[in-house]
Amino acid sequence: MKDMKKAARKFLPLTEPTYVILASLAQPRHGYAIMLDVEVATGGRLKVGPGTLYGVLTNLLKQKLIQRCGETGAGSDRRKVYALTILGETVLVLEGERLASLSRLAVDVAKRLGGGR
Amino acid sequence: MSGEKSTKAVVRMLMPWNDEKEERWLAEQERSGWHLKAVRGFGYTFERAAPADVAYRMDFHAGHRADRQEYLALFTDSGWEHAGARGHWDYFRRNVVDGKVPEIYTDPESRVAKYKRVMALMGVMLVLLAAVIATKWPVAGGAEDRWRLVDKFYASAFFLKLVVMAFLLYAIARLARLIHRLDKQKS
Repeated sequence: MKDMKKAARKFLPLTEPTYVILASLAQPRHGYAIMLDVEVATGGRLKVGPGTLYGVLTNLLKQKLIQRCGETGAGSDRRKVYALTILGETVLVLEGERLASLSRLAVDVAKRLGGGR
Repeated sequence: MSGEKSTKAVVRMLMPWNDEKEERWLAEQERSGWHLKAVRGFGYTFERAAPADVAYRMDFHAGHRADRQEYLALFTDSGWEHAGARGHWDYFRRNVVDGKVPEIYTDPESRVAKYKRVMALMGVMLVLLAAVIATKWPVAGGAEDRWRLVDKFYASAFFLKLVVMAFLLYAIARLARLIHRLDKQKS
């Protein structure tokens, strides 16, 4: 477990699209479902185009943070489904902790600045 | 009918550092009533159609063949029609609604990565070509007069190889400049 955390730390910090795509895969999904989920999860602020998504998925597969796990649909509607690996889960959790501590700081600063005015 | 030609073929070399210009040119064709029918090795064929507001995007796909269906599905699922391919370049299009066009690359890193893939392929081609010139491949173990024949052929092809090499060098330089510019925009 300690080794896993050590291996996972090497991937930090993640770029914003990478983090959001990884977070979307907390539940196994196919490509287009990831695009939709990212848009919903960020309230429409972040959109991931197919070119960008393909590149990020290819990288994540290469880094073994995600894996293919079967398919959904049939015929021309068949889509590969992606899921986190254990390493991917660890990276997602560690990055989440890092971002959470940053966001606590952000809320704090905003409060102090807001109070000063 | 007015007797005007209803199809046309356009010979056009693809300059990989100018793909956005190519996209705009294809959109311009659609606006003036020429619908892209097929992408060919030498260029494009168009057919007469009602003028339309169509956006084109080109992607450089260097993945495995097994990935291809998955790759194309990402585009078609998100509303892009695959209009054709030329070498490693794929052409996608969609109708423009309210003047808005969603991008296929939504962050600067992945856009830069696309041009880096093009540059890497051109680099490999350049090295291979240099190796061919250096070793006079494929003439391993020929008889005396076969060598002479090969030499003649080689001399005629030599100039052509130099031209291709010069083009590759130029293309790599242009791509490097483009990547540098995009990297600067990021920060």
